[in-house]
Amino acid sequence: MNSGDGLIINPNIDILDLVFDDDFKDKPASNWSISKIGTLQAKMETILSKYQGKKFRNIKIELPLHRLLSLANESFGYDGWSSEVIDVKETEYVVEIKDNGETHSVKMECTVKITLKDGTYHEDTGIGRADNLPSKSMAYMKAKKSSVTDATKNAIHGLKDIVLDHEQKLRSGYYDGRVKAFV
Amino acid sequence: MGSNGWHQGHLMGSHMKNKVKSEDAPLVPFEDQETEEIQTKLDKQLGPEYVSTRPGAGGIRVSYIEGWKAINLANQVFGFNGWRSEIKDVHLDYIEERNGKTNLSVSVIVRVTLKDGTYREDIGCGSIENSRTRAAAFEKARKEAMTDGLKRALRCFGNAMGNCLYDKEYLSKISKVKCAPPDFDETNLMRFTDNMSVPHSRASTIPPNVALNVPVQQPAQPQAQQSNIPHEPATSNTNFIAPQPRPIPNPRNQPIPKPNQIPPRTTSHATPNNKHNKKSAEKDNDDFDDSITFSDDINLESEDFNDELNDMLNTKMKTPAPGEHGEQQHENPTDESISQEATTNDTPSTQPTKENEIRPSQVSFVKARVAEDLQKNGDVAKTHAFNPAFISPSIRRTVDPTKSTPIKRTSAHELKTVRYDNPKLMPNRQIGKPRYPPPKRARVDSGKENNVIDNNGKQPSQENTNTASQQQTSS
Repeated sequence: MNSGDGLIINPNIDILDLVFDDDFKDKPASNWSISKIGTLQAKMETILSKYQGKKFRNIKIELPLHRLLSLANESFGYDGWSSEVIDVKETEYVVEIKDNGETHSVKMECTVKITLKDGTYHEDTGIGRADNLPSKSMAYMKAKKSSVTDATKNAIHGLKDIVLDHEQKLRSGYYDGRVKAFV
Repeated sequence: MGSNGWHQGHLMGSHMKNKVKSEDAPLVPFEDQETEEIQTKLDKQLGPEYVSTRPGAGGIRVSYIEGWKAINLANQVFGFNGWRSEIKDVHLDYIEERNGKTNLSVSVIVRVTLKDGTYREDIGCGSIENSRTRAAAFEKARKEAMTDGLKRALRCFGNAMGNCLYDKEYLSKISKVKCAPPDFDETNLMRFTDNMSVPHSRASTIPPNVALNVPVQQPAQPQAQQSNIPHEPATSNTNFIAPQPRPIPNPRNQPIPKPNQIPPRTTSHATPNNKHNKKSAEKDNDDFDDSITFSDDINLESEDFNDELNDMLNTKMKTPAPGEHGEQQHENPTDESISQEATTNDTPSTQPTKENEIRPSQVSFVKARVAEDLQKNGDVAKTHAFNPAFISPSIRRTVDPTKSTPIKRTSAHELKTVRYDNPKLMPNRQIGKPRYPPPKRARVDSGKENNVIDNNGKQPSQENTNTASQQQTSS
């Protein structure tokens, strides 16, 4: 699938339908994903525009995960994307012994990969933390779940960068030297 | 122990990059129409029957969806063969033992895959504290983690899979929507006797022993047996009724055989079918024989009662050996009990005999005392409906039989109160129990006491014994 000098390409094929590398990592695989990611971004911005006047706006509070998930389902379709938990790591665990018993603090790091139907994918990490919780299991639960949530959010937000990077590359003529299309 | 647990958890974490087996499974793409249907279903928000609440942290009520409801929903939306779930990884976060009690926490990464290969993954956690055994701890924590992970993975598919439960506006509205509890539909139960190919009828609810009795009696009482044949029994016993000629259903107004009218019997009625099923039939007959002793089944008011009883006894005496004749002896009473039971209860066992059509619009139980009216008129007032929850006021109850609550012990002052006027009224009277404290008796003296008392010189009555001991020493 590697593109090379000797490869003959049908001119009708969209330039994005070509495979430049082994992998689609952080590259749009087709025009479908570009348009759908654009739709998702537009929907997110319409929601955020309601909060424009406010001083402190936090994307993560105004767009909680359930909103993001439903936006993603709307724009890609329920069968248009997949999510995968790649890794969950414990980065920190602290026990403090206080007057009224122990308190536990845990930090977790998680990596989530989001794959679109056409093969575009993006990986992102998120962290979750639980501070000063009375039981160890509660601390672990909270930290783990919030790390996965955070990572999923980051991964969905990160999809827009794929398109922006791609447009930048198009403008700068990144693809020009690599692909030879016969006219 | 804590560091050890951490180490174990770390080791288990090294298995993280498992290969997911369902990736090898063949993909079946959804059809376009199917995709649209599923998308519209997924966009809907959940009804109040799916939302449960529990008290959460800080006194806030937390809404959630139960695990089995989520699975039902997934089956409903994607189809029973449209999705699969899979455990990608099980990770033991920590395990520690304190004072012989186990605390542990398990996290599971669950993947839910649709048949076209789309998947969602999420993490679920389960934990337990102060478990007595390790096995129970692992069992509970793992199950909890799996359910949690499944629910969290499913909710990524959309509103209908539980995503709407995070929406606070929705939650504030859904708490006001009321829903009636679902009706229990008896006809929709998966039964052991279900034959999947045959649509089951009402007759399948008839107890099997009633139906089993029928073929045994067939040659002996052609008429009575016809009135007792249940309407097309869909139970498993059809296989040995089938070879015999199917009885023609009789009109219901056919006279019920009176107890004293003993129908003529044939001595040899052991058809091959009967021989084949002799054991089971006998067994069921024995079971059914108990019903003779029920007071409801014997018409005490009838003048023929004594005759009937004598007849029964005679037949029992005359037939010494069980077997073919042993079956016969039960024919009459069994038949009578069936017919009476059928008429009093108005069950479908006799009703559908009229060419399967005439059925009561509503099948119900009535009081035994209106049985005769029912027999004559065929209808009774609704006030005579049998009420199983009725408690007779004439029975004095000390305990509420409808509840299961611990009975309080009688308090101390109650124990002490003694009713000499009417000892029966004492709540815990125990006849024959020695009194406590024991009644005062004339003292049986021992030597020690004597000496002490003697030294004090307070009791002159002890002088005699004292002198006796002195005499002993002197001698």
